[in-house]
Amino acid sequence: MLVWIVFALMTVAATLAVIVPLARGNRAATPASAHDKAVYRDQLAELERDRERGLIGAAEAEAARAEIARRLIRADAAAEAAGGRRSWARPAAVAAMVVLPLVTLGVYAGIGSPTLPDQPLRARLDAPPDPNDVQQMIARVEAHLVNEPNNLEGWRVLAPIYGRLGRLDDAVRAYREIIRLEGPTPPVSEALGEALVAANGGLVSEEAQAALDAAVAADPERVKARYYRALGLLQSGRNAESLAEYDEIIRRSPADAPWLEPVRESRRQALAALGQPADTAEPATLPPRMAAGPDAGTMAAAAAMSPEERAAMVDGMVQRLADRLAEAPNDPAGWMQLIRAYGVMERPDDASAALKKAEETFKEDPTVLAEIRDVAKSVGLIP
Amino acid sequence: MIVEIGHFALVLALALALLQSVVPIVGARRDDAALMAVGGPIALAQLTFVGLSFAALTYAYVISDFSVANVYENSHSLKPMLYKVTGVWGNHEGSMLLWVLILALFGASVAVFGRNLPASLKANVLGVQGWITVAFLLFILVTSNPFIRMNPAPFEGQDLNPILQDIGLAIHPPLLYLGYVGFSISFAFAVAALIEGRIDAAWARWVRPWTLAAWIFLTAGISMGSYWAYYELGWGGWWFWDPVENASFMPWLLGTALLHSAVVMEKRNALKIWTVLLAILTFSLSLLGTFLVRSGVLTSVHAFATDPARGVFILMILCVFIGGSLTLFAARAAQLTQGGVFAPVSREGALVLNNILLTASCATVLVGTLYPLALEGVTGEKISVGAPFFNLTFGPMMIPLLMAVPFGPYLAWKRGDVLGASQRLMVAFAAAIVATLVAFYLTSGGPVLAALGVGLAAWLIVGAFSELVTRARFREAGLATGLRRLAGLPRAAFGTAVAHAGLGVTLLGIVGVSTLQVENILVMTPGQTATIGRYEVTFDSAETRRGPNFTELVAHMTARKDGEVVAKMDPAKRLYTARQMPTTEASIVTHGFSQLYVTLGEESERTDQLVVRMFDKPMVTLIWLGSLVMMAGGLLSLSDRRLRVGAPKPARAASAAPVAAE
Repeated sequence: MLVWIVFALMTVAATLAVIVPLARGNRAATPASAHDKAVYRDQLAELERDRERGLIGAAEAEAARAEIARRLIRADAAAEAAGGRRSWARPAAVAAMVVLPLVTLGVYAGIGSPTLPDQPLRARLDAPPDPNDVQQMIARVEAHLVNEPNNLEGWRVLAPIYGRLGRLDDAVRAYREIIRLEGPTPPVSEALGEALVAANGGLVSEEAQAALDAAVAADPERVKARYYRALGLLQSGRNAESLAEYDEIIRRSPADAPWLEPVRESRRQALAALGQPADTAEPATLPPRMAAGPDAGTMAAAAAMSPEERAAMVDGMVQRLADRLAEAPNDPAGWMQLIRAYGVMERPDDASAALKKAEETFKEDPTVLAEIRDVAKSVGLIP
Repeated sequence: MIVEIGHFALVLALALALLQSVVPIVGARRDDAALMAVGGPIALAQLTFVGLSFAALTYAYVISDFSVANVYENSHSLKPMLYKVTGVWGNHEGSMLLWVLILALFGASVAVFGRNLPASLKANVLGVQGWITVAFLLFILVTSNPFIRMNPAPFEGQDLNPILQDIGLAIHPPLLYLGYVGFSISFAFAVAALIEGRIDAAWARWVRPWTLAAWIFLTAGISMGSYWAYYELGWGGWWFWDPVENASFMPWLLGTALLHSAVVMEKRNALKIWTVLLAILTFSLSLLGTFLVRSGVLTSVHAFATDPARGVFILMILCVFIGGSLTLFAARAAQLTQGGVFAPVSREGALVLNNILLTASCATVLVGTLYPLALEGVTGEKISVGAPFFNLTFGPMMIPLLMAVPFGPYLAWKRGDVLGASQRLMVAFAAAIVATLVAFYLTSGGPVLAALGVGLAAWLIVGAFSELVTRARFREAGLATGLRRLAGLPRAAFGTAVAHAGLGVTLLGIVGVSTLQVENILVMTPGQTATIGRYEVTFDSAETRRGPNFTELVAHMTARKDGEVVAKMDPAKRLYTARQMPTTEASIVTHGFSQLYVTLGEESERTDQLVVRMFDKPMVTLIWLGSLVMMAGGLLSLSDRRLRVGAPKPARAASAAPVAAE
């Protein structure tokens, strides 16, 4: 409603700007010949100055003066007869009062969206979130981190998502922020190294190598870190060390590990670089183990999904987790994961419900309770 | 709501423009003072509403309102505030809104500063402005509306082209538009005169300051664009004869002719037809420039054909305004009474020569710009017309013009004396000879053309100022009186001298850089030293760095002259990751008027090697400093009080003036 009042006021102002000068009536305008005469007199004065400076010869100046004088006389003769016709001020005013509102409303009604309010970034951030929109989720967290760059949880959420969306530089930045805030941990160092390699188009930079070294040193079971580390060693010509690293991976992997094939492929490159035959014997693997959790196939499928599909998949996973906990509630890690997920997805009601149930379940176990409360705190559920 | 208020204001501006284009002109035809008086207030209301609309769009950019499609397509919530604001005109729709805003600004200026204009002329001028405004507002609302909304709003925007995220492009388009659109005033005056069938005596006095202002802005816009291309594109060139550049250069050439033509008309009532025609053509070329850049026809004739709505609309605007005004000209030109007579050798005659040469050189640029488009449209063959064509056609026409420039101010009105002028120019001629010889000696018998070019530049600069000295008559009157006389000279005389000298300065820069520049392209490894002109450049090391939204490869280099370190240089190649867009960041060291310019070329096979392009560019900054000097000349001339048109004097004073003149 307010917007229509403003539109009406604007139209009235525009109409007034037209009809007020019309209503002021027929002021006598200075006749054009008077303007001309003023200029001709200026020209005579200018001519005199030019003659003084020698810009025009004496004879030419005389001729020019005669020219200007003739024009002055003509201008005098042209003193026009005042127009005795009636002014069209009234019809013009009526036309303005009709044309302005009609044209404006007619055109605007066709192309405007008068009912649509402004939607500044702030307002969109405050609006209820749409859990299916990954971009929106990212933007929300980003906006949050601009004001609160030390929010560890925010960076934790963003870093892997960036990586999956191919925003590799952003992923690297996010992993660096995590390390800045909590110090290096094996999983984060490994992820940083991987992101750096991907961002550099497969080249293992010095920074990446250092991060991977740190990850492997702190946690020897980091297969992925070992894999990229070996790649880096090979790239910098330390072929023997690279081969040793590949062998180490094989030694630590179950026989049915999905990564063994690519590792063997890379190992053959290391062998070729060393000039050894491609079928040089490799160390024994660990016995096979049934794969658990989201297998490589699921992960690969996730990477190929559109953001909407991926968000749906995340939703589904969270829902399955919630269902499982409803049946088998005695799973502290599961509850923490669920609360964190709801927190990230900005579903505070679900998060507090989950927290309440978890507190209920573990009210006899103060350690677990404290851990769960920490998680709740980290997503801002409780102060 | 604010966005919709802006949208509504834009529509309201269209309705006002419709009234503005009809009511004052009817008033002028019927000699109806009330109707004529409406033009001014409408023009002011027009500025208010277009301004409101522009402010609303800017607001939408500042608050990142992505429910506005235009904001969503060209902004990003994390972009620095400066580029959020400049993003308003960093895209097609917004830049057209800026175009109309400047048009409204000029219209309102006529309304405010035109109090002394004859009522009918003012009414007609504002009416013609109204037509242009209607055309462009319709264009915006029909094909390029920046206020189209999207619901629901996307959460994040698509960001602005990284090349446009530069302070240079924040200022360059508004300056250029101030120049382009400024010429619409001259155009409106010309068409108004043709409608009336008579030219008031004050006409040229009125047209001149507007033309001068537009010319100053256009000069600034073009030279700014040239410097931006020089430092950002990394090719080391300052002018590429690129169609976009030509599009702004053509109105400049004709605008320069118009400026000089208007002087003759103002003082001598001569060259009326020239002036009116130049006013029409200058603005037509401004429109053509807008069309070339905005329709997408330059990227590809076929891209234009696949999305024709915009291009066809601008083409229609071009046809109506250029065709219409030229038809009007053909019908009415004969009625324009001839003014003062003059001999072929005279100030007037010199300015006719100036007009002819500038118009002809503009025509060659036009041919060189449009011919490839026409050829591609007809046969599908793609050719590019570049520097060789323009050097062969444009150059030979500029050289006689530049040689003639110092003569102009020395020739008297009506009948001049070439011999006398030559005698007074002896000093300048001697200076030119000396400069040629010195240049020849300093370059140790280097290119003869360079020495001659330096001589021509000296001829222009010394010639421009010697005219002032001659006018002050130092020789006859002595130093003290001479100085007094010098101070008493009108500012426009200083403006002429300064602007002509600026031309000489720019020429000096062009000659210096095109004949004496030393270029070296080579593959370098760290530790290697290369000689370039007067410098040795050592490549110390290279590193990869990360910026907020790009990665860059930086080479650290040290420039030495005679063994002493002159500067540390860090040329870089950037890759903007979001759009996978590479840019080069040239490293430029200025010393005196010369520059050492180092940029990184394509990467070579091995990672420890870099392709480096180095230029020693003597006197290169003079190209842009010269255009600053030209602008200063224009400002001096603009500030000359004598150019302001006085109100008609009361009868008593009126009768006194002719007596005094007798």
